[in-house]
Amino acid sequence: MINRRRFLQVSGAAVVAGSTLAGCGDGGTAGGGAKASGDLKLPTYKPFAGLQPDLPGAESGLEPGFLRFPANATASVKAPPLKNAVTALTETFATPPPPMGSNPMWQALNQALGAELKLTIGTDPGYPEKFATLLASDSLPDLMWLPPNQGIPNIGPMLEAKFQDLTKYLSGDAVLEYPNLAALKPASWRTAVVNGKIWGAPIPSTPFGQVMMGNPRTWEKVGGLQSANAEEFFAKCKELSNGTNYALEPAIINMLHMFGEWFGAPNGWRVNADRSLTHLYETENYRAAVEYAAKLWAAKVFYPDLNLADATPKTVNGQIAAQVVVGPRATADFRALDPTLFVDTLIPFGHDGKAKPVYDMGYGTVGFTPFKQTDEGRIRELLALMDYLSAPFGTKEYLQKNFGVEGQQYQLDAQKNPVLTKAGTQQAPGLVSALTIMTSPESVIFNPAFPDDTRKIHATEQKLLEFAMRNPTAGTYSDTSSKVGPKLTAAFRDTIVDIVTGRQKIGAYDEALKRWKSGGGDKMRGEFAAVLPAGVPVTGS
Amino acid sequence: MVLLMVPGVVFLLAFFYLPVLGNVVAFQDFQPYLGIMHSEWNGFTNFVNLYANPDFWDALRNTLILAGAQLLLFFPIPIGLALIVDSLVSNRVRRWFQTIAYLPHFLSWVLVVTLFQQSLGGAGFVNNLLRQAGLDPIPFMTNPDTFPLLVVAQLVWKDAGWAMIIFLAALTTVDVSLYEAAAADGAGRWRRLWHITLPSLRTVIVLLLILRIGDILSVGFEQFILQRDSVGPGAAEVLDTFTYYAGVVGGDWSSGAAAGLAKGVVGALLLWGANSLAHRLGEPGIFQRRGSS
Repeated sequence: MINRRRFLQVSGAAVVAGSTLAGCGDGGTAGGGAKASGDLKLPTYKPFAGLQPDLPGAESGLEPGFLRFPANATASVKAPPLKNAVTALTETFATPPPPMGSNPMWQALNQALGAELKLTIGTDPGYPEKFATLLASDSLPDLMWLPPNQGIPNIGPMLEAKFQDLTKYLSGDAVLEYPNLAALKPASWRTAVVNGKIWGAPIPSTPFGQVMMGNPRTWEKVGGLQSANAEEFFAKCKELSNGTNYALEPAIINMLHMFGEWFGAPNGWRVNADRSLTHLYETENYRAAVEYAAKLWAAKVFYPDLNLADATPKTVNGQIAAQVVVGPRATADFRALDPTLFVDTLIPFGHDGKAKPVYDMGYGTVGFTPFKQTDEGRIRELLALMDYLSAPFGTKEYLQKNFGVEGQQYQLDAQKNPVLTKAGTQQAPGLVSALTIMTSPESVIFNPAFPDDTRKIHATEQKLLEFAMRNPTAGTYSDTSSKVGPKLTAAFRDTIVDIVTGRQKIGAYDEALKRWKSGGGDKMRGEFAAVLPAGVPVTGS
Repeated sequence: MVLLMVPGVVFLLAFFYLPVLGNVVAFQDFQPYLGIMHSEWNGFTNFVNLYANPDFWDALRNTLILAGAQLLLFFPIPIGLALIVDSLVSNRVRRWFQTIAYLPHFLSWVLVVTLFQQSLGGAGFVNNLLRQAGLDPIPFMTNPDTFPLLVVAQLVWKDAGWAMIIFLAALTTVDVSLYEAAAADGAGRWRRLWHITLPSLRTVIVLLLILRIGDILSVGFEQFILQRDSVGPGAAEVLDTFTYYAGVVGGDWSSGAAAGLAKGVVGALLLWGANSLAHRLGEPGIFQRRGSS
């Protein structure tokens, strides 16, 4: 519900590469660290009991759906968590909020927490730079949000040098002291394990990856967004592109991710029958997708201004027919601009109408928030704060964090759903975005004014899950990937974009691949293959 | 007198000389969480890696091409502008012209690039007109081959008026009686320009040229990072953006610093070379050797 779309869009394509995000897996080195992480006892999982969703979730990743906000929100923590002020570095993906002094919602939150929560709020892009500068300055805040896929390098040694090992307080049953943290799933916790130690509470996000969404009013003219094969999609795009209207947004790497799914390209790495790995870039499938994208580009169906920051308004007004966003829940972003519009989500299809497509699931979290090294009393205080801020959907704390105070920042509509007031829409978005990127409960589907959307999204998720593929290296760690992965991916993508836009011939692909492999790609493959979990299914021939 | 110098000296020390010491990270495997004191020293490894990195050479080549284009195409324009303004008789027209010409200097690169994007971009004003007329759009902003021209055009639009001011000031120092004498001897407009105006400007022109050459590897940063995606790094990656992507974004701070340091050293050598050349041609240059007048 809270807008993480842009964060995941900027970096979401990294999920395809599977290299940058590995920075937060288990293990500091390919050998010992991974083993230590295997030996670690993850926090005991004890889901929040007070609430039944209207549409059930599932282990597969299907998110539970709520048609209305639960009446009589219950409290999930017993006492205000703080006695002393806390400082934190975080990032907002909305317009930065009014500062604490002139933001009643922030002040009310401080009141509920028991002391001031002083946030330094970065904006996008530029967070890794801010993070690195602060790190070098040696005066760290108490909490620093650590994103998994914005390319912060050498996470293992950095954590050991500057941050607090929390294993003792969270491993096994120890976590039960913090019930809201115990309600986070083991799969989420794996994000926060590095070198066999737990470094913070994970920040769950939608487990779904990127999808293509289109404005149904635009696609109506050509028989709808859903297509049977790549040729049909191409023809529709061509028909929709005329005058100043275009079929596709100019986010080439993200679009390419979608085409790759139709051509059967793997999610990050392909696991071969002998359990060796083949990287996405090395597959014929991805190469074919690049050629297909070049063909679309040559047909002038992409919006021609590559610097376009956000295509959403243009999709809503019909100038662009389709764009790539993260997760089926993103329909809400379009509703926000036009309440009468429910955008359509493309279900991947085989490129020739016969081959089985894949759907790439996302990373499932947006990282974790480590603590500055400190004493036990302070650690417990900070953990209590994380517990408060991770309160599940439907609780009092959740309302306080996301909606503020009734009668001030929100009021209840006819169905008893919380809706932001005018004051709320000024004070909330920037603050809520900054809070939810550093702390979150497990995700749910909830569209207050549009319960029917929740039903449809729940159904779409089930369709996508039929083709779901997860990155086999998720939750594992490669030194090389952590150190040079971001650089290699960026260089390879530069070449791909050159090829798609016709600045280079497809022959440049092989040259770029060679550089990717010798620059560290081959080494990464070895490191990932050595720690490939036994439970990961074979995805190639 | 000394007291008056203090703020300036402190400013220079704090923001220019002290940060120079930070260049030592070029000889380290610098990690921000370890700091300069605890990062490992690795000698010239970063420079060796830089030498072996084709991307660095591409960035250097682009920088030189763009610098060359700027030098050839941009440098003469402020001189021309200054001559035009100087020849305007009406004070009012002159002031208007001057103001209009130098105002764009105060716009940020983001605004300038956006303005160009809105008028010349793929979805911009000109191309939309062309489309309505049934013609093919022209890729002004996305053609890597013509990128140097685009960049110079933006630079001229933004900064030519500003650069003109220094020449205008120099023009006011020309002794008017020289023109009168020349006119009396029957020298026409062009002869006066050639024999009086330009020779009077020569010292300033050479001075600015030397400064520009010393600075030639700094072709700009924002202008290129903003347009890198539109034309690709093959045309728009310059040394400064390379440093940014390798160092700050890629987390390899040390090779970024190494590239920056190499750039600084080359710049200093160029400056020295250009100045020596100026001396040989009998110009004062930016500083003078002891003993020469």
